[in-house]
Amino acid sequence: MKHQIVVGSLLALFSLLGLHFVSIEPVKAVDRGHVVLRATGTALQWFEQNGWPNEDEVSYEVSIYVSNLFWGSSAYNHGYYGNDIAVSKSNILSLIEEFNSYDYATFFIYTHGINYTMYDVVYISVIYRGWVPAAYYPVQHYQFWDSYDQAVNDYEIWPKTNSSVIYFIFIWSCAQGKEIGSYHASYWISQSIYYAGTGAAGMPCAWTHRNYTQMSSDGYANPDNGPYCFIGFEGWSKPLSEQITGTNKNYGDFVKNFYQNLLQNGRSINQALDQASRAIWGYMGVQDFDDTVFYNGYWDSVPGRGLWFGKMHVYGNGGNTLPH
Amino acid sequence: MNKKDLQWLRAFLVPVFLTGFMLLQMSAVQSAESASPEKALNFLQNVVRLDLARYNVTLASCYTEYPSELGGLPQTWFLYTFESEESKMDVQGQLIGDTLVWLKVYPYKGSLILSEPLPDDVLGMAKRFMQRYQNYSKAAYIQQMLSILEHVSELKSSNVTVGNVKLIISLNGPSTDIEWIYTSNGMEFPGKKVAFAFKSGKFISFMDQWNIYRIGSDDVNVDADEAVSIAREALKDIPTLYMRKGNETIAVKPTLGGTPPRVRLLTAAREPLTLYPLWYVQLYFDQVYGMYYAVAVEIWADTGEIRTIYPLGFMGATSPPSNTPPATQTPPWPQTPTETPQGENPLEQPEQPEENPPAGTEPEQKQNTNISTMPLIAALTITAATTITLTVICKKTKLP
Repeated sequence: MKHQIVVGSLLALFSLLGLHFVSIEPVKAVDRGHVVLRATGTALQWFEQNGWPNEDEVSYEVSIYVSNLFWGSSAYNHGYYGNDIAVSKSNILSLIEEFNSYDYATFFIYTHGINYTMYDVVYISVIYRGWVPAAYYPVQHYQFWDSYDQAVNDYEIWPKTNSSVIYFIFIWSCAQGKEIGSYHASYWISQSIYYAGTGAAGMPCAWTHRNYTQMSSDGYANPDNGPYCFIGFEGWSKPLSEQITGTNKNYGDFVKNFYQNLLQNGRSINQALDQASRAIWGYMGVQDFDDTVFYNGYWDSVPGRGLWFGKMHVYGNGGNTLPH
Repeated sequence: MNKKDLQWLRAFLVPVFLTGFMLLQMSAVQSAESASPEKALNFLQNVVRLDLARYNVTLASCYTEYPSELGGLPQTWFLYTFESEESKMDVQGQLIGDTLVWLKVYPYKGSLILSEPLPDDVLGMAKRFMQRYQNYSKAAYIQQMLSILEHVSELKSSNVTVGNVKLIISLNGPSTDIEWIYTSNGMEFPGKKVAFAFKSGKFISFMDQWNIYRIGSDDVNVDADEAVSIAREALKDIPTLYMRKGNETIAVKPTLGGTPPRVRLLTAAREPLTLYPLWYVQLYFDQVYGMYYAVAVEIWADTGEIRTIYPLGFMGATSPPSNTPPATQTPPWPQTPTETPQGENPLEQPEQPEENPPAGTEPEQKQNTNISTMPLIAALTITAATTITLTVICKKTKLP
């Protein structure tokens, strides 16, 4: 009898516990992802004598360093590191789509890139001739390249980033940060006139689905309140291996310091930019990021190409902090 | 001492040594962690007159490192958060050794809550900060800087040099920078400086590196022409550049071109925290080689010795890849809103108006800021033109 009472009591207890467990709502894990891509392609060259810097080695070291910082953070449960031949256009577009399905994602991409011109076209229906292009409107578009020199265009990224959760994008490449841009839609003006737009024009717009009216054009000095931040270069960016005048450091050290502050020390994007600027250029009396050549821009005369301008832009909200 | 005694002694000494070693390790770690970020709080309380009692202050992050360029001195980075009902901000800063060298305020909500009102104007604010900083730091160089600032009666971009101190006031939009830079032999040493920065009339940042950096030399024994000659001599044998072409690696030997060199006199640290004059000489290649276009040679201006040589490049490209899309987008045939348009396929390729220019050389294109109005203007123009054309055709073909 005693035995039965004990068994009965245990059963009752287990049933209650069972009910208790059933009543607990499952807690959804937050899925956060990071992607670090280094696409060198055939456009990467290097000097190999007299101790001159080797872009191949330095960019590899920097991208591994940044990737390891992400892997070292418990805030991310998904990650991808793509290096050299592992980075194809289809892979990049798939990664964007995949990581955009999480709750939060961030990309760092080292590659080559350019801006170029496409044209929105107005077509009209003309009797006996059918549809003819009647007007062209130049639109700046942007592309960076995979390891096989295949271009990844802004308008190809847009369809992969619907309701974008890719909140921080840093592309170390030429030209990708020239402007925020906007979406150039295709639509009927009337039954006989059709406007054929070229799609997303501008990398920040393509990644975030925010146009130039919806993101701060200077997310460092005047950050907006949004969740997105995009860092890229207008014009030409510098090789990571290039030595910084008067120091024994290179631009790769700037990137490493920046990500270390973001991911290990919990700084906001702007705070991390400031601290990296102090760490690199402190000996020159630089107080913060807006004292640097990156923020203020740089000119140089490139043989056979004329005067070139470069500048690092921070769009959106540089006050954001990355999960760390 | 017999064997048993030795065993006892060993049993006693080993834990003692281990414990001592661990304590030493711990104290080393603690000393690294306990570099005094409270100095920032003292500065904010005594110089800015921030009312700390009205904030919930948290040290969010603090760590110390020993970079080689500081010659063994600890460098501590810290981040404080300040929170109250009316005001919220972060304060980030840096100590070198035990000196607060940099501090920046990141305001998120409201204004700084001060225990004592400040003058309304930035110049008055700067003078008041320097007076308080003088009292706080007791450093003689602050007194000299303050007396130079006291002579400034109007806030405008300007500079004035008294002895070895150059006061520079820079106004740029909402930002005002007031800096005192060490100058000697006609050269500025911007690493050795004190500065206050304001934005929209509010204090933003402070820096004092005056006592951190020493001047190793202000002698310029090598002039600009000599520096260029030294650089050219050093670049007689430029290293080979390796480039990929498909699966092949090819070697190229860049040569210098005729573009005039770019020469600047700067300062840099030859020994830790000791500044010397430095020539920066940039010599250009005769053409772009892959991603490189020039070489920089840095030469100590007092000795003529080469500090370093490095190539300068860009992350763009010499030509777009083969799959760059045509200049005109081929849009997918649109879904008809009302009915499918009749006639030929309208998506014939127009002539390409111009070649795709390489990065950086792109001429300024008309921005698409008015893109929403452009189609309407175009539509009106095209409709008018079409109407006229159709009218003419109808008349010629005598259609009704």
